[in-house]
Amino acid sequence: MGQEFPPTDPDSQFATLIRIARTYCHPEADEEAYDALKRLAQRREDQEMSTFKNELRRAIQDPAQLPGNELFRAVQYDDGSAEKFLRRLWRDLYGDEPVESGDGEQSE
Amino acid sequence: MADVPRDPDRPDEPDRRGDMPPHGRDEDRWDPVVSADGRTLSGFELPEYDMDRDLGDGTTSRDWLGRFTPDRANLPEVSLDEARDHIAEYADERPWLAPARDREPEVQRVFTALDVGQGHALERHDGYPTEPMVERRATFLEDPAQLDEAKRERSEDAFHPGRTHRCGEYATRIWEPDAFATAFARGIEHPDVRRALDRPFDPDRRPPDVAIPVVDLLGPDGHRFCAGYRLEPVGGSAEAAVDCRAHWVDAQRRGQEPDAPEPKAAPIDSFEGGRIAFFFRPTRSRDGYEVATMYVEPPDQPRKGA
Repeated sequence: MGQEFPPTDPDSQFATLIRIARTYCHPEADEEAYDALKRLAQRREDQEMSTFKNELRRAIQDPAQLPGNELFRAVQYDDGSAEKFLRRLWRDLYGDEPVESGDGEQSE
Repeated sequence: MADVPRDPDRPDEPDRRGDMPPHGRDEDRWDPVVSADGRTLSGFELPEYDMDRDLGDGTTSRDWLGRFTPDRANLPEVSLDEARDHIAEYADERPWLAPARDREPEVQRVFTALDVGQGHALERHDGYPTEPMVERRATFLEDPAQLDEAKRERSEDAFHPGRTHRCGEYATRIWEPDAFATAFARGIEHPDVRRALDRPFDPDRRPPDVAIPVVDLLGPDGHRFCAGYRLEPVGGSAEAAVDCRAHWVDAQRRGQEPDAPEPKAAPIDSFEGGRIAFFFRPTRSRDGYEVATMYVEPPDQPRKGA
C-alpha cells in the first residue's frame, strides 16, 4: 500500500502540523508551494488550517512534545532545529501575531 | 541486497557498493573520483532492465507502459509519434530526455509527457544526472536541472531564479529509463496517487505526498535500478548536516570563508525496502493536480506502520 506522510495517527498530537509542513515545506515540494501555504494560512474558517495553527502553536511553546526527530525527517528543513523551523514558519505565515494558546497563554 | 559483483581487487572486503550503478550509460560523463567507497569500478555490471519481466503480480513494464496515457496524470496528451519527435528534437538541449532517446515509444511518451508538464522528476531524478551530479546535489546543492553551469556551481535553483537550490539529506534517482517510466506509469494508477490526482482542485491546496514501496511498482528487484547519495551526518545528526550544508553553501555564494565543515556525502548502499514518493502540484491550466516530482527514498526513512 502507498502511504501519506505521516500516516493518520489518531494519537499523534502533531499529525496535521507534520503532514502540512511536509507537503508545503519539503525541498521536493514545488517552488510555489510555500506561497500557497501562506495564502492557506489566511483562511480563518478552514478547519484543517485551524488545527494546523493550533498544533504549530503548541509545538512552538513546547518543542519537546514533538516525537523524536519526526519533524525533521518529514520536512528536511535546513534551519538547524525544530524550534527554529517552527518559529520561522509562524513568522512567515502569521507575521507578528503572538504565539499564544487557546486559553490566552503567551509564548512570545 | 542485490547480487552485485565484488571488487576483484578486494575480494575479502564486504561490498558496500550495494545496488548503486557506478555511472550512467555515457561513460564519458563518469568521474571516477567519486566512485563508491573510492574503489575502482572494475567488475561492476549494471543490471539490465527487461520490459517483459514479471513485476511480481504477473504484469510487466510493457503492460503498464502500453496502457499509459498522459491524461491519466493530468498531463497534456502526447501521441507516440509526437513523443518520438519531441525527444529527437529536444534531447540535446534538454538532456533529461536523452536517456529515452533509444527507448521504446511507450517509454518516450512518458518522458515527453513529463517534459511538457510542470514537474521536475525527469530533471533531477531520472537517468540524466550522473553520479557526480547527484553527489554534488547532495553536498553542494547543485541543481541538475540548472543548465547554466556557472549558476549550477553557485547552487542556483533552475526553477527559482536567484534562489539557492534545496535538497534534503539525500539525492536519488531511478537511473534506468525503462524503470523510471514504469514507476511513473504504474504509480499514477495506484489508488492513493489516483486519489490525489482526482482530488477536487483548490489553487492553494496540495494533496499530501504518497510513497509506494519500490517493490510494488518495479517488482522484487526494482531497487537495483535506484541510486543516490546521502549527506554524511555532522556530530551524528542529519539535521545538523543539512544545517551546516546550508551555511557552507551560503558562505560560498557570498564569497566568504565557510564557518561550517565542507559537506560530504556517501553512496546509499541499497534501496531494497525503499519507497517511491509522489509530490503533487497544480496543473498549468490550474484545474487539477499533476505530479510535481517522483523520487525514490532509501529504506531507512521509516514510516509508522510500514
